[in-house]
Amino acid sequence: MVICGVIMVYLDNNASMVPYGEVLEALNENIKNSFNAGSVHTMGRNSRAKIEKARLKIADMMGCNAEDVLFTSGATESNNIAIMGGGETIALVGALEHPSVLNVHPNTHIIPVDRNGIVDLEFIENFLKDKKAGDVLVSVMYASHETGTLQPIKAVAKICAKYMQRFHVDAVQGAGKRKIDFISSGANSMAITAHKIGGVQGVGALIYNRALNLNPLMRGGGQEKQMRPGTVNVAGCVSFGVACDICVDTMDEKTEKLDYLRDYMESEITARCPRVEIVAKDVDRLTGTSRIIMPNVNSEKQVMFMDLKGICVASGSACSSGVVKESGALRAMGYDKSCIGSSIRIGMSFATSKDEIDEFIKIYCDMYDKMAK
Amino acid sequence: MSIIYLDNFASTPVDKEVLQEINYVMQNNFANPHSVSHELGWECNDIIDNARLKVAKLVGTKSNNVIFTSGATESNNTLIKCLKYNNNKKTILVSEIEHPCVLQSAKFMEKHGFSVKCIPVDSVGRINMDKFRELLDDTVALVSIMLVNHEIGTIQDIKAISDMTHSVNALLHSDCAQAIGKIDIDMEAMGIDAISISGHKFYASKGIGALIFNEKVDIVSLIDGGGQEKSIRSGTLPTPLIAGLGKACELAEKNLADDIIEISKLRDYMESELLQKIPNSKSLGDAKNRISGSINLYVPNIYTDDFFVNLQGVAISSGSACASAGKKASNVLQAIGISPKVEALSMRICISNKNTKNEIDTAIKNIVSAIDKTK
Repeated sequence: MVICGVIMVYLDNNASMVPYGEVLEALNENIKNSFNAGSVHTMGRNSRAKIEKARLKIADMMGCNAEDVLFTSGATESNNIAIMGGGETIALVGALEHPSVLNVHPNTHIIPVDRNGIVDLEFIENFLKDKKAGDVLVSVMYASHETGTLQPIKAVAKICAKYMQRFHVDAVQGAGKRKIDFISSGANSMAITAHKIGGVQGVGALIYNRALNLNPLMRGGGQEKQMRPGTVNVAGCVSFGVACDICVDTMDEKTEKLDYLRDYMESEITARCPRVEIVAKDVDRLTGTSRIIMPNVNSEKQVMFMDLKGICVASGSACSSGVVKESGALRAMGYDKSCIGSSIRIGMSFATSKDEIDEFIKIYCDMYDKMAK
Repeated sequence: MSIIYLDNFASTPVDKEVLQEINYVMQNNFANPHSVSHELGWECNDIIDNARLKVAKLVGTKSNNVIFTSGATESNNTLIKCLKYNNNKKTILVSEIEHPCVLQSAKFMEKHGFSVKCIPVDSVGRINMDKFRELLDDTVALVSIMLVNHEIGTIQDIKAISDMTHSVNALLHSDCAQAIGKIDIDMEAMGIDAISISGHKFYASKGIGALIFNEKVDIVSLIDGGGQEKSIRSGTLPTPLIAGLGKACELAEKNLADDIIEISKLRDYMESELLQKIPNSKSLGDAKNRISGSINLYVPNIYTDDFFVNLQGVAISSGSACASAGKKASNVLQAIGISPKVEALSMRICISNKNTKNEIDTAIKNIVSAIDKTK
């Protein structure tokens, strides 16, 4: 695709997805015409009505009731509210979780994962066995942003229900890509964000049943039923709703296309680069996500090589440090030194084309010949 | 029918240039600004740094003092709840006309052993300096006083407040949501240690704001995660909204002086017309020290709800836009000695740099006619 007049192959959609054209239109239109949704005049009421319509669309995508949708500034805030809002003394979270889950609760324990990145259910059961009901908040992501691995959410929910502990799911990477049914999932809450599903940065939601009575993170005006004060980002919410609509409508065809592109890419690369390994290849993964290890070749070198050829990929998750970091995921999954710090992550989107994947394969193989042969 | 928008205390329209900026960035710089592995990520990061500079410049501080947040509510919450307080300084002073997010954040601190005291204001909404002096002692850690009030537009004598605050080694925080882009803010010259701002109150978009503070302020995070914004505010920064905020700051820097002159003219005209045409009406707040667009008109013997039913084609409000839709008595009006009455109307009007003389004429006509109908 052409970005700033330059042809680029953007394969970092797990960090931030290319926004849908309809989303940009909705944002533009609503930034022009959105007022304070707390105002009593017609313009305020119109803004309020738009927010409620968007809430319905998000509920539709997540399989929950509209009143379960709490708008926030993004998944980091949603995860923070979910993890700290219940007052549990212990947090038990998966080893591959995002920092906004890992780094929040002062008393956080880690659930180990297997070589495919799947959480150890027995460990969860054993951990919860002797804990008092209501003492532990369990958090496991829907799908890993690092490897695409899908987690056994229903099984974890069952264990949590058995020991009467609250269960939160960071659904950022699963939402809009997989059919999620919040109500039957057994989870008590789910965090989502617009910019990972073709919406824009700066808006997200926490899905939860208000009977949970979570404490708010902030105080102020009574917006979002006292749970999230601050003037609601009307245009952000409306465009988020538009993104959800598109995701629901196009989910099946998109999944088919991206599964095909990913499988094609992986089989081409493994055939032509024999020493390469695809992480979690044999388990159910998120569509369009792939982590490829080129043993003993530094990820930083790989991403720079790609960048110079106009291909955007990632090594670890996008963080703030300004340096390319190794992925902590592979360490947690038990990979050895030759693999940790030697992988890149590919994240495709609706905007990814077969030509782009062919271009990526060509450059990847070229890189392999230069660096790993 | 087009509606004349005069509720700019609640939210302002987004400036065309700001919208263009947001649109451009959204289409071209959608990458994650924290992605360090490709050029698109770096570009986003550059855009954010550039915006940070513009924000800092507008408020007279250094760019590394700026932390982006989702808006002033979050900024106020973060500053008050996450300041690293010293054990023997456990008093927080706030003015009684603060926004609910300041009052409630302070109240929240009471649960953690803090003593929270309200500083009274005089009949025009200015801090009562004698009472303030009485409340100040060595136990005061933080004073939070808004630079401009959100209902009556009163501007505080912030330099005098800052001198007194610093005399007991306390920090001064000021909610500048209503001040930014409306009056000059120079944190250093004014002696303010921390300010909160919001984009949508000065022609940028909703969903973006900042907490800006100097090196005297030491705070921890309210929201944890990837460690963005020096670990004080985690979460992917919304590049397009930040670019828009930077643009709004650049425009304010350029237009503020002219805006103040033009908007004041419209305001003075509108206010004198309304006062003249609506019997027994009076203007609330400080006629001298208020932002240029602000009018708060008090009309006795008019039922608020009936008035708003009768008012056509003009968007104004009776108080701050809280979620309870204006049903609660305003803490601001009570503080300046206006007791809540169902049969009295207070009209909160704020004119922006987008309003025209024609609009103001129509608004005057419609407001006066609604008053006549309501009687």
